[in-house]
Amino acid sequence: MKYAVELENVNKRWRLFRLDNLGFRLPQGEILGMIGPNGAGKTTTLRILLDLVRLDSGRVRIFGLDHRRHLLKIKRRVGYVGENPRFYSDKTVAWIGDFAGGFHTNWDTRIFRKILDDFSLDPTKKVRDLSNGMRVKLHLALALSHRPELLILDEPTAGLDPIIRRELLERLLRENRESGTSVLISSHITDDITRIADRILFLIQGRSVIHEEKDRLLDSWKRLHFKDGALGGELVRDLLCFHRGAFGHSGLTPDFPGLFPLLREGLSRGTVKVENITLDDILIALVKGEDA
Amino acid sequence: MKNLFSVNLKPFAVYLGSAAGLMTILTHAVVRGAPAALVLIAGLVILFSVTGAVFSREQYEEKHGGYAFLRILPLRPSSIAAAKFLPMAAGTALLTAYMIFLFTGATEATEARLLIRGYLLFAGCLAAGLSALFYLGLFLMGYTRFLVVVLSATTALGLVPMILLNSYKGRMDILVDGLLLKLKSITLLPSVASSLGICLLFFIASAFALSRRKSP
Repeated sequence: MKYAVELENVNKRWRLFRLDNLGFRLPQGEILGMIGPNGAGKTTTLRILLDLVRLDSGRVRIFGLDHRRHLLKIKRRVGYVGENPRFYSDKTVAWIGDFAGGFHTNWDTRIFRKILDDFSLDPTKKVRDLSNGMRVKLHLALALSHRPELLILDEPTAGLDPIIRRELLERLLRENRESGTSVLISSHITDDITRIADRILFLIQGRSVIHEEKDRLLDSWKRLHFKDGALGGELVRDLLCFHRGAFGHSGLTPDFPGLFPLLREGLSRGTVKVENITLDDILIALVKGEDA
Repeated sequence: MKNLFSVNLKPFAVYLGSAAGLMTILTHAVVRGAPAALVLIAGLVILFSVTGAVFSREQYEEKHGGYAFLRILPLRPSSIAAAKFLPMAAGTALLTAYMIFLFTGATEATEARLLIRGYLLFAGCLAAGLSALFYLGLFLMGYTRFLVVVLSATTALGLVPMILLNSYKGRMDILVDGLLLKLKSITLLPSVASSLGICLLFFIASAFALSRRKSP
């Protein structure tokens, strides 16, 4: 299998935070969503990929190439949208496109104009007159106009209204399906990740806690509601986010398929019920564990 | 790359063009000649217009997050540094050459012409060397921090004339004669070669500083 991104034992230490032996792989043509609380290391990880932050140790390969030795080649094949995109704000949208296009050998002005058109971005408008959402759209237009094979997106939908968010996500999905573009996206908005990602990476305190296919992850993690005595004591002890209630108890299990044979009887009697959960629930369970 | 050069060329075109225009008007229309005071001012104009253009562009980059934008483009740090150094070096050379042409053309005496040429060459070399040093400082510290350093250093430099006056008390003519002799001995090739060498050293250091610079 070919990988768009490979990280091995990546370490980066700041004064109050560190990335700790981080490792993951993104197969080409797939979308990986990075989820984690504030300060988990999502932005640092994404910036390391383009050498915007220098790692202390470890190995990063993009399209099989060492990310520092082949940085220029890699940047030509990657589109990056960072947090709070900044441009020369006294210039027009068209000027920014022409300027950025001058550095890409495969820049396609027609694609740029088309995306501006799709996003209803006026090329004659100055960047300083654009709203935050419009700036993100401009950044995405710049990131897509050289036909990148990999998109790295750091919280691209933060602070955007649901309509613009939906537009951006649809555009990303289209790029992924039509051009086979790999996407690495971090977001606090787990709904967005659920909507588009093939794989999920949970990053907590600089460590990769879970890296799993989304469907498999959501099939494995379930909330169990059960009555007193319906589950064995050991099984109950292993549940996360356990809540004891007057009319029944609940808790999360990360291994529903494994537990299924033990639950079959309760399920048929109606003393155990299974509920699907969201990525938010999983994140909270991972961060707070039994205390949630 | 053409885009990057052209955006960096603009402040130099404005600042140095204005400096050349101002001195032309003063020489031909106001003073009608090249008195010593005007030549002295011309040297300072070279120095301040070149360094002014450097700071003006870097202030713009800081204000608009220019480096954050450039760092996501497929560009080598050395290309970014080159796009700063080349317009600066070329602009300084052109302005200095023009000033020498302007003032030596307005002077008859050979001795005075030698002195003017030496002084303006010195001003040009100083402007290029200082600008190169400023680029390194700006890339290492960022605009705001480096501006504080430069302002503090400029204030400290203001003490130099006082120290000189104090140590040469009553012997100022010796100091002035020595300086004039040194200025007359400045010739084109060694001064250009030395300032190019200094610029090259600072360029290499600047490219390295840019590559190590933390992401904004």
